[in-house]
Amino acid sequence: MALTKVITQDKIEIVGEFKHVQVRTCTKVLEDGVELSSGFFRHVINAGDDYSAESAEVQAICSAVHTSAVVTAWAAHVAASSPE
Amino acid sequence: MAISKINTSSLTDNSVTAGKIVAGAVDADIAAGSIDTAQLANDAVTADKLANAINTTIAAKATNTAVALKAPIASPSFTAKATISIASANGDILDFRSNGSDVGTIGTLGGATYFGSEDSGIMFNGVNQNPTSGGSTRVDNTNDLGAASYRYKNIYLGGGAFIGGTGTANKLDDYETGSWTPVYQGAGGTSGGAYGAQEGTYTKIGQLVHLQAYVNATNKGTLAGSLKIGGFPFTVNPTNQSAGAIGYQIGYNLGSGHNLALWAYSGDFAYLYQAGGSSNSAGLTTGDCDNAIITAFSITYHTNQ
Repeated sequence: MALTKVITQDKIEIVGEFKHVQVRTCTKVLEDGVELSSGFFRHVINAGDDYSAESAEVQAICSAVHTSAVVTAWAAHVAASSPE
Repeated sequence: MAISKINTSSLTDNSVTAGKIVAGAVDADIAAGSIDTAQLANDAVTADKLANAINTTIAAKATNTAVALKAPIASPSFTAKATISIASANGDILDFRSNGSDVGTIGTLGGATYFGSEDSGIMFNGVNQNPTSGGSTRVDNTNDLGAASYRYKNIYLGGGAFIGGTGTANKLDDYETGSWTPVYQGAGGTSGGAYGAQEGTYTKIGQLVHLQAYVNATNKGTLAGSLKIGGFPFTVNPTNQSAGAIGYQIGYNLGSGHNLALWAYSGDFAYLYQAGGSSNSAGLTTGDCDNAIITAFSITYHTNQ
């Protein structure tokens, strides 16, 4: 009987005009390869966020979609919509 | 000397008994029609006498003449696939009966295969499986899948389920539960900070997201600009702004009679406000709270997907 924990980023989505990157991390506990349990953890990377701690795959996606234009647009949106 | 012929006119009834016929005395050269089957008593010819007697020539007969199987066949087995064919493009291929009554059918319609009972069935129509009234007639919104006392255990869908209608607004295409990490943020920047607890769970049903969170900052760090709680697992659809419900709060310095409020309208966060009496809602900043902050809340919103 061997218990293993497998963590994967099983879903990476680019959402909305500001190219939010939604990442779903799946954690599975397996016994001899058969799933005993699993759970999801999610987080979002906004344009302009520091994504240096993300996985290489997420970094590549953020680098591709979070262009300077998108970063500027998102920052302007946040500034315009922040409470007074 | 072997007798080649017997003049049967010399034989009287019952003059030749079975005991007089030795093994092999009657060979295969029995002329057609020489045995009047009317003279064969019931069960006179037993099954073991017919072993190998019916060979493949029956196949040639079957192509021209319907073969009615009078005797029950117990657990037939085939060494190769069995084929049952009908001459028409559509219709029943095989009927099942019980005590003389029809109980089921297998057939074809336009190349699709259907099978079912007398009341309901299923038709395999291309990549779709359509419900039927039992034969080749498909029915809409009539048959049930399972019953109150006879449920299927699980259903696995890669797409979605249309509930109450067939439009896109009726499609439930996602359900998910999981966790997320709530964090205090400043709209102008966030740094430092230490937490005693960051507990967040989510339930997503279609586009609707429901969050529950408890976030305890023992040191809020630097929170520049408007104060917000972020880290949401799904982005907020700007066209569906939502307010949250605060269940517990520590460390906020609100105006007299004011309550803490959450408002989410974009990104992965909700802004913190205070409101009360006749005052308009006003956003909070780091100056409106202590160094240690606790917030327990829930919020429901629509996401972009």
